[in-house]
Amino acid sequence: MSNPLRIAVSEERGDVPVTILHLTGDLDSKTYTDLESKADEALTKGSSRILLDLKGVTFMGSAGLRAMHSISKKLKSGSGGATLKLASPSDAVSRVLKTLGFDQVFDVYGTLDEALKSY
Amino acid sequence: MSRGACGAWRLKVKSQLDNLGRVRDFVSGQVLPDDLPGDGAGEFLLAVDEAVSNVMMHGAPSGDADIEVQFTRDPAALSVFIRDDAPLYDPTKVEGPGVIDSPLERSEPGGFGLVLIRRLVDELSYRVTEDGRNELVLVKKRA
Repeated sequence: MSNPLRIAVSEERGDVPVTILHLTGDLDSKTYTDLESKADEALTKGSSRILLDLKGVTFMGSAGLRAMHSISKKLKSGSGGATLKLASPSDAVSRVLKTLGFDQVFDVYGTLDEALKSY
Repeated sequence: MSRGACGAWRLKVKSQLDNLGRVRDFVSGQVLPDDLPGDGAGEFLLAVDEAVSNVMMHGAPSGDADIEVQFTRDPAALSVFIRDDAPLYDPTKVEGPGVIDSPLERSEPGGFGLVLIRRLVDELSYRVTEDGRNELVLVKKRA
């Protein structure tokens, strides 16, 4: 069954602040702009490190990759020059990343904890 | 959703992104657990989603075109026929990025949909139907 996309936002205050976007549902051609908008909100508020928690993504199309690509470029062009990090990708996310070779391009971590420790 | 005379299943939707989930539900509901090995079912669903998304976003973005999705199964393969009355367009003639060397350096982040389709199905073909519609056929072999 298709599932609406929901995005929850949390902040991790460790050695460096990290904004985490927790995605659940379908990231497709209709909803990818929701992800871009949430990331834009975080960037506008001053976030320089964004981590996507992807374990709850039930479907992802190339539009999801388009959103990740866009966020990554904005982060890199910012003053911090940070990279977008991806945590706990679901099978739906891994399918797209691996088919197009993006699993070797993005920083992908098996768990949220591993991703947070990498900062 | 309706069943045709030859046992093919069809879904008709308007060319609106709100209907993408219905298309996925239709296709995933037709594929049986032992139809395709490995991740084949997920791959086929992704390829169909990309093809229908292309029609909705680029072929008929105004949303007034009709899209028909037909699913068929035979011993050798699963097939999905996507027919629409948007302006005629053959996506199989589009040259996508072949080898994606430095994906994050691409200035335009789109354009991966056709690459995905080509990599996830065994056959991809296009024709204009007798009544003048686009018809894209995606075939996934069962073994």
